[in-house]
Amino acid sequence: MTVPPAKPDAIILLVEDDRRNSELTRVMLKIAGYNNMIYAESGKDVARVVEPYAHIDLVLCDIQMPGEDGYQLYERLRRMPQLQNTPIIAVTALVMPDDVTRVEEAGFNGFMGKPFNFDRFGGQIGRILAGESVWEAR
Amino acid sequence: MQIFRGRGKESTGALRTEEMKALAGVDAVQLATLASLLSGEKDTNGVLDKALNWLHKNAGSRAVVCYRYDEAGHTLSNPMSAGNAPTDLPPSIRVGQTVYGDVARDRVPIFANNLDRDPRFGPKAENAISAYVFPIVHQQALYAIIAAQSEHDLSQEQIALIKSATPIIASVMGLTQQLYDARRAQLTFDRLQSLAQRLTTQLETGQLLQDVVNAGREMLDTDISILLNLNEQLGELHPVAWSGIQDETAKLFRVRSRDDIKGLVAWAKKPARSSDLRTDQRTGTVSFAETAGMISEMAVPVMYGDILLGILAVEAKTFRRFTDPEMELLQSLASHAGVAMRNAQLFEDLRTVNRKMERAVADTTIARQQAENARIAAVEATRLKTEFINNMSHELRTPLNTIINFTRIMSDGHTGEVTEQQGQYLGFVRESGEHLLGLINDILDMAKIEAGRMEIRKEFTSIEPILRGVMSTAVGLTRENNLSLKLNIPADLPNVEIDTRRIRQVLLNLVSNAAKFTQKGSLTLGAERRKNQIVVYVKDTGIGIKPEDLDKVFEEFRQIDGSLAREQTGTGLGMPISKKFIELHGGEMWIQSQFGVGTTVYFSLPVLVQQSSQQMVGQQTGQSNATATSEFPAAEASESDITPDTTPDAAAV
Repeated sequence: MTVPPAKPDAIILLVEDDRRNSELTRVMLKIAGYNNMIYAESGKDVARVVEPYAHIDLVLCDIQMPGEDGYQLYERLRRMPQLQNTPIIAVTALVMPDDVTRVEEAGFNGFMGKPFNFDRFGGQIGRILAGESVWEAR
Repeated sequence: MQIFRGRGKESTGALRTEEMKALAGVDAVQLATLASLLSGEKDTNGVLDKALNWLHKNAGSRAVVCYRYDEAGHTLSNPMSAGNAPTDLPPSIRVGQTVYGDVARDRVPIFANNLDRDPRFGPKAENAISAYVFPIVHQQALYAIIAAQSEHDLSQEQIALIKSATPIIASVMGLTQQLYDARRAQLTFDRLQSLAQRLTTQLETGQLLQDVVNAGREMLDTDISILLNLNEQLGELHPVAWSGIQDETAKLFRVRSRDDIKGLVAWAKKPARSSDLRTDQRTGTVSFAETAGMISEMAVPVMYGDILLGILAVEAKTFRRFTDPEMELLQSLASHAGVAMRNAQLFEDLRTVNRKMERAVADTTIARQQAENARIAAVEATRLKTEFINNMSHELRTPLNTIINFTRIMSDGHTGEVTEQQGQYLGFVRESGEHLLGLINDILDMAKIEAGRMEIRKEFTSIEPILRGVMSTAVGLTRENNLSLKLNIPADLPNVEIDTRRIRQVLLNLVSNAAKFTQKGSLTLGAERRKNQIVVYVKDTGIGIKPEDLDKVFEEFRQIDGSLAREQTGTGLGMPISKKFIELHGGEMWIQSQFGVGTTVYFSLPVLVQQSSQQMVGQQTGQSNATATSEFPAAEASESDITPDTTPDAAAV
């Protein structure tokens, strides 16, 4: 993990229903140098979690979630004032080409398949924050 | 007994003087009346009827008896009479029988007297003692024999009157017959024309045959017309169309023997006619036609070529001399019927063939439907399988994300110091997780390939950097066994159109397999050009594969059954997937192996032969030449040994 963080202070929102995976993401972001991860367990929590912040720098959003799924949530996220011009990345274990296509068609700005590649994870986040596009299914 | 039989000129000569006197006294007015009387009749029977009455009234005849001459049967028949003629007139007299028969034979009139004592005279009216029997002949055709009979001796004047009347009767008979024939011919012509029109436009065979039968009855002016079909199996004729008969009667009617005009025609395949069935010697006692009250009949065979299909017959309730033109007409109708019946037969055959074809088409349609259903079922099965595999992949990947990455985090010391053993065990957990992930990825690839959804993103490039990269990875894989690694790439390797990621995946699979099954010796990665393709190979000095197991290598989920192989991990999908990837590139993969000696896996990739690619090849070759000499001094023939120490970091791949 030698890649230095692109924006160490970046506010990164994770929407993820699996607590173990959210904890993993938090730890991996921390190892990569990003300490400001905020976390919503479902779409319902997003507004409450985002409320204190003026701007969110990056959203990592799971796709398969109970209730409101990632595709539906994307529409709501996009309309939030704090998420104007914010890259919204799908983080999902649905990695078939159809899934990637659907994510792209829904409007997401990137794709990171699970399991994450530990060695590349930090670099991917850094590239996204630098305005690059990342589409890595597996 | 004095019977004067006038024979030829001698008889007429003897009477000449008397005759001349008598003729002089013949009333011209009477003859003129006869001529106008007779000429009003439409048919010869009518003419004869009028003539007989005239003879009875004007020629002093007590009774007049007349027989029609039946040419076909060579008999006298259809007796007619006027005056006090006997009521029990025999229906027919054969030519040569009795005085009537003599006259018919000789065609010369006879004056006979003393009839009481003449056994050969008959039929004779009661009390008749003299008679003048004369033939009605017109233009060589004998129409009838008339016998004018008297209770007295006929006078010369009476005989002269009869003699004067004879040519008038004969010519009117002849003319009437000709007129009748001409009218019928005209009628026939008209009707034939309209019939021909109807027949050519009539497609329904049953109606066409009915048209033929109707035409026969109308045109020949008969009471009955009937068409019979020959049933060869039963050896009988049965009606198919009729006119003038009750349907119930017709349907039951069968002709089985020759004892009948129709049967005779069917047997001889020749036309036949009978003017008087009652006296016809050719038929049995009572024919069907006679039972139905028919007197004359004409029948012709219905043929198609030499084959008898049936017969067409017309029957009349009256004495009828069917003429040759009439027979020709009936034959013409029969030929129409023949064509129609033949067509009907062909049509029936065609319909049978059609039905068979329709059934075949229906069968094909069912088969196609079944195939389509099977296809739909297969598509649905594939869809369900894909859906299942996708779900399974998702459900396994989610926990594997934490298993693989948390163990890495821990073994990297992010959660504090780990002991050597803890580090080793964490490594085991991570390796197991990665193996599971590899399995899932292979299954996903296989599912994609099977669903025809594996996409190959080809680019025109050199394969050499990929080979070198894979070689670097192999260093790590073979470190344990300390295998000698060799790379053999010729300088002029042309560019190929490949999905670099997939080709790398294939090569990594081949190299890791080779490393897995090779305990000592060497592992060689090489490439060479062969015509329009390049062939890449991975050669090891491992355990080898038995010849009988070679085919199993590319089967899915199959690992060669061997003690060492069983110790090795693997999904069993690596080789089949690799082979599919190569095939998606338009290449082939094959194996050569000697058990206990080693294995070489080859794959080919097509080289595009075109101007631009040739140029590219040149450029690339130049580059790769330089690279090859600097890093791996591999010449075309020699293999370069490399040691793990000299290779770049495997993680860079």
